[in-house]
Amino acid sequence: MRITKLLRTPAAYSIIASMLFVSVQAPALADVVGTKELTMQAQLQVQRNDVRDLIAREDVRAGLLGYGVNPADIDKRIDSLTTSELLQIQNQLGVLPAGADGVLGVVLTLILIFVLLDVLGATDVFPRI
Amino acid sequence: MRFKLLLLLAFASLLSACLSAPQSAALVQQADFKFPNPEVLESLPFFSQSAYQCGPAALATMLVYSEVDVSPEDLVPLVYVPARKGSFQFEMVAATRSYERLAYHLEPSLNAVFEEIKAGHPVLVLQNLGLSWYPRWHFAVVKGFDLGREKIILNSGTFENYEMPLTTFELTWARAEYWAMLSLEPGVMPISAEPESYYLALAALEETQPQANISAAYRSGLQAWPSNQNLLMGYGNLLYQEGNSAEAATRFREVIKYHSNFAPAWNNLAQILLEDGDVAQARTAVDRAIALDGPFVDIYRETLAKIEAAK
Repeated sequence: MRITKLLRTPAAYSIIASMLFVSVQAPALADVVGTKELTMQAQLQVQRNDVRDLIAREDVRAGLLGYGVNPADIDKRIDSLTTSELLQIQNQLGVLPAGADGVLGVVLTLILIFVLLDVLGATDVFPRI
Repeated sequence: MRFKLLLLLAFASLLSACLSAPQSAALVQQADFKFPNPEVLESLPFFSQSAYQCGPAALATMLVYSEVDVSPEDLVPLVYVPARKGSFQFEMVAATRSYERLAYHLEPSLNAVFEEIKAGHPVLVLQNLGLSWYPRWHFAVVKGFDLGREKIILNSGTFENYEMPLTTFELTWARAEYWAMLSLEPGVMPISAEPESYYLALAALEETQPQANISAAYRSGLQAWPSNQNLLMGYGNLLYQEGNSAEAATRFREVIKYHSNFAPAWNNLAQILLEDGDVAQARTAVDRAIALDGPFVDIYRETLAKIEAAK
């Protein structure tokens, strides 16, 4: 039997598949939790804290209450936001100035938070989305 | 006539309303006990910028001060974007790291800037010399200050020792969202350092330039914050990578001492115990990690599998 033919038998397929599986598995056998992974977690924590700081701001709290959303409810939800959702909110933080001038920025950010929270099922501000 | 005067007054009050510089005002008030004397970093080099190239000139100023052998011309390909006639902040950060220097983001505080100057660290700042709707971005290096005269001293563009009224500086800096960065030799601590920001700056340097003197940076950080979880973990991992398992285990044990619920430390300790042949203790440690759970639980299970195989 020629080798190419051998390779086409069902048994060969399953062996090749299992070899592929092994070679994919091998690099995942990390012995320690590396600094890179820990840093990603630390960054996530920083982002969560940034959003917490945002929610704690007086003007934002007032805005949230105005929409009938309890800031404490959002606080509970921050831990369940994914990395990309956190990143989206954080990108909006730059648009949100500290004074009363940035009404548009405030509104934008609030809408963003609400949309995310709607997806999570915490609020129902935009039922049509 | 009277109407015109009124209009002028109204316009002036409008202007002063948007031109507030609260940080400068607070600092000038506290000058006597916080920063009573002018401070100037006399040895800060000066590179006059060529057209639009404030980025390379300012960054060279920072790097040469921290004993890197570099010229603005060397930096042009790294940080200058011809189409934008300027440089981006993230490129300044990345270029700083590529010369094995710690790029530390300063908090948005003039007080922190002055503390750093006092400690001998020049500060790279981004300013918007125009207006928010008509920006003119500019990188400069803070070289000193004189609060008695309400001035800040910069090496900026084509001017060495450029004195700017403090309030004007604050306004231009605020329009650039108070962006400020230090460029430090690993091991030198920012005087205003926060453990979180310091660790992130250090981890970024370690990831991109592992050959830099990372361990010196960990040691200084741990001197300032001996129980810091991230720094202890990072230093432990570095020691482990270098083959110094005994010292690494000590760091992981310290993490456990201060933060007994931090699972990765239990896992990493278990790995070293296993390598040392202490299977029973390794098992106890990894069981603890698995019980604590968390995002890395798959790694703990792998460690457990290896421990069970070793029996």
